[in-house]
Amino acid sequence: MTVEKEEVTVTVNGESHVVSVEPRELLSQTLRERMGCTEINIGCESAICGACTVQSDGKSVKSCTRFTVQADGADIRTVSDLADEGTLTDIQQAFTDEHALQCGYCTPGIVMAVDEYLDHNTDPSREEIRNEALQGNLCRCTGYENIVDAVETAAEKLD
Amino acid sequence: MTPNHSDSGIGSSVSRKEDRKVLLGGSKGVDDIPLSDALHIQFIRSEKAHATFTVDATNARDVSGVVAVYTPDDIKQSETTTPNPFTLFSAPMEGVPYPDDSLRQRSFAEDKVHYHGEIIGMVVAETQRIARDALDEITIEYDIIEPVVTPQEATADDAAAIHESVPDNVAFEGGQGDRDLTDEQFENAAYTVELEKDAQRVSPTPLEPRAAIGQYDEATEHLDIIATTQIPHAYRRLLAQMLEHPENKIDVTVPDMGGGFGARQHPYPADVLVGWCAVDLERTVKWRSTRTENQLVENDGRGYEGTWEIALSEQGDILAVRADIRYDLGAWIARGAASLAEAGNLLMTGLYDIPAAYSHVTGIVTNTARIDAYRGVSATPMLMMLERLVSKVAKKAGMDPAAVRKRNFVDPDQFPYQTAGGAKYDSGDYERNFDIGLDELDYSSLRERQEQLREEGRYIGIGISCWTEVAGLGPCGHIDVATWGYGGVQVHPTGEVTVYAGSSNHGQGHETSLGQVASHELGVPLDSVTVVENSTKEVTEGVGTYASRTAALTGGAVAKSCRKIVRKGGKVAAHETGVTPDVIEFDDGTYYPIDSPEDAVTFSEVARQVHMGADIPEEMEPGLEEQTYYDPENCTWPFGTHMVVVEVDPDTGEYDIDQYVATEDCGVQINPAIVEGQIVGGIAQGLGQALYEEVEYADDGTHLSAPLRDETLGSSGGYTVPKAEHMPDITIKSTTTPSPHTPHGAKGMGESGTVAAPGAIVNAIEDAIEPFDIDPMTPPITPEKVWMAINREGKE
Repeated sequence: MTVEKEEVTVTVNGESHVVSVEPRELLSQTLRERMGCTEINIGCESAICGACTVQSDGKSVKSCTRFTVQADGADIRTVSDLADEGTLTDIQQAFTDEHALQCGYCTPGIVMAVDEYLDHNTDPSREEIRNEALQGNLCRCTGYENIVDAVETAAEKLD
Repeated sequence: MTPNHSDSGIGSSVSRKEDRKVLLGGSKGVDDIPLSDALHIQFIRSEKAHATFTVDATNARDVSGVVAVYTPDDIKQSETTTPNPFTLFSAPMEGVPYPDDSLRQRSFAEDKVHYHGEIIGMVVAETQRIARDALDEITIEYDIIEPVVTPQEATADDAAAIHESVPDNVAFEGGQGDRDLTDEQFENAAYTVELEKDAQRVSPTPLEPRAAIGQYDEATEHLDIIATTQIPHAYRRLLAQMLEHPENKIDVTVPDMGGGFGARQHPYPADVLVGWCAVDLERTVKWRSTRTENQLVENDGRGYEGTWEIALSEQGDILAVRADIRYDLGAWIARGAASLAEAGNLLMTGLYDIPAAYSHVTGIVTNTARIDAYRGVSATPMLMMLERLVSKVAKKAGMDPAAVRKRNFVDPDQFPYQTAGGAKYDSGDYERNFDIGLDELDYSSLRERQEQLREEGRYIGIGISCWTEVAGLGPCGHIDVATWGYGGVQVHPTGEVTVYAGSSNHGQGHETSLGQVASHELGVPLDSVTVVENSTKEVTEGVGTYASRTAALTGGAVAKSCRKIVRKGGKVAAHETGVTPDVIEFDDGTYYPIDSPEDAVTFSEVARQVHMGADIPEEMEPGLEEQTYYDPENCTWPFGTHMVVVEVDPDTGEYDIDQYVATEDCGVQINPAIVEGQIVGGIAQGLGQALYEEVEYADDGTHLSAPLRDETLGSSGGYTVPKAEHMPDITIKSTTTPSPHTPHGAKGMGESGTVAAPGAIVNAIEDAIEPFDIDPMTPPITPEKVWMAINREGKE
């Protein structure tokens, strides 16, 4: 089973990488297996759970829904790139202040989705947080309430 | 000596120590651990539910990069001992023997498959993708046997036997409680209600799929396992039995794990074969399941179907409850499954003083994946049905459902209270806790408003469900495995502290809460306490985390170890200050003679002194380290009530949850924010069971609910996990009735939401549409079912 590989250039958390991948390789696989981005979690492999959410050119995407070849030239950010030399961002700080995580498997994806959402809705209602900001992510531990609280708290700080 | 109260001790909602690593992206799960030279396993799984089969793996063996393929014959013919069958925790209930040995699960099917997804071999390759590709090269010929997918099918006269030695598919059967007294009470009742329930299997669905790594060192014969388990020490014990490998040559570690909810306890067939394969190949092997594979084989919860009944007197006293249950076990009896039959019965009378109770359980095998523990276990169906019955019988008698509950609560002076189901509740103050919920809702005004709104054509409903759970499990000797709590505490010469906990943290925040217990007891800052967990290499012993046992039992063991340390330190301080130990006080990290507080010695000074072994009493050993195997005298019985207000649109069947109030009492709370997180998280899973979740099988036994899905309406296939938009805001109110027997008064409370939410939500919806004279609903209650109930044919 020999498949022709393609060369892809992708920037991940500020660092440029050139990789040679099979066309079927998913962005989530490339990031985890070739670049060591194990902060991206694979919960469903079917674009439901959002644990693999990253930002690609500033937009949050589920990295299990992209082939790596589609990410040629993209600028990818993961949760590991948010904090500034260990200082948590307002969103990250709000998550710990509000007890918004338990097992933490969904957290890196949710933080990336929220980070983008608050860029264009700086003052969301609780309903908007539930229906829009967290639309693409599942959490099986928290029941979401503290996550909603954290997004509200973060939005207030960002004002 | 008085207890210590630092800012980060018991009762403080400090932020979790776990969070920073997660938020910085530094968590490492099984699949995140870098391995050089690991081989990857993919399991060959049955696509059929009931069939004999043959496997042809010839082509797969030829795929480049495939290192080994094991068919059932290959496993049996290997020099490595074929894994033994699984064992069970305990017999189903008192007086009922262990089920037939042939029902104990095997690690792989030899020539007959019993459920969709059963392992019939494995492919081992250089990469996961090669292993997956090679799976496509395997040919399996099936000779189909008629499957029996439900308990009814399995017990029909002409049903095929799943296991030859159990021709009627009945694994066990037995009753608990006083049957004659219960029957008598029913005969004397003024009002009775009977309700049917279907099995509604639900899937725990932790977000991280199952995974395991096996590493074998040929020279030392040491097997290292890294796996997704809630019970690393017990997992090791079972693995040792099954692989016939010395327990002291196996280690199990659990890295950061993405949830458990009861489904990640003992090893599964795949885990056993990962260990087996590492030994057989003398290599490092890794298996990481896909989501669909995880859902296909990970145990479902519940599986209770049957009839539940309640009897009420003319005055509103509950006289008796009775249940006749068919318990769907799946194709094999999972390790904990039999014992769950008893657990639910213990609390089938809920929070009420009911003189008689009887339940009869028939355990039935079906051609499905197994049922085993899932948060709430059998308490969920038992209390959901009890609470539905209480509301229904109250209405039948023309009484208010809240008033009937208040009338029947066990009174505070009745504790310890022996239930008719066989439990002994440790402490409680039910009515006080309940009234807080009524006040929060402004219950009587709400009932009036409900009447007014009905006249306007709007339908709100109020649902109430009281709960307890078997927490802090439990006293040793009750089941056939150890059930103590383990906690070791080491004080470093610097005064810093390491806690070695025999539990498993996978979201519960033990690094914080167990640290708080030590901080509280020793008077040291939380930042000076490190908690080590999840490893047989680092922690001497453990029973693991399940049955809401960690706060009470590991927390209790840690508290006891700390108290031993404080006592030993007190002797050193007495020696140092020239007084007898009985006049030494310990407060906030300082020892002092009661009559001369100026002669104080700090805890860290004492720690250094004991470590050095200098200037300590002659008979004393150096070192400041203690361990405790804490065997409690009873389980703990937290309690509370969930109250839900919904509004239903009768034209569409759609509903909104307007209000959700949970009153809780889990004894002393170590970290109230963590407690609230457990409550709300449990409610989400309970709401899932009430409204969205159900594992479905096709008539031919094909599992239909493996992939997660986003939509719930009308479609078949896939599994819905509640999203943020499905959840209401929750109001939580607490009371504190300490457990009289745990060292620090904590009870544990991990399962309240999954126990209480289903009954409260179903009661609320049924209450809302009561004017339409509906038949009882069957969860999960979709808007479609609500509409059908309102508009059913034949209704007037």
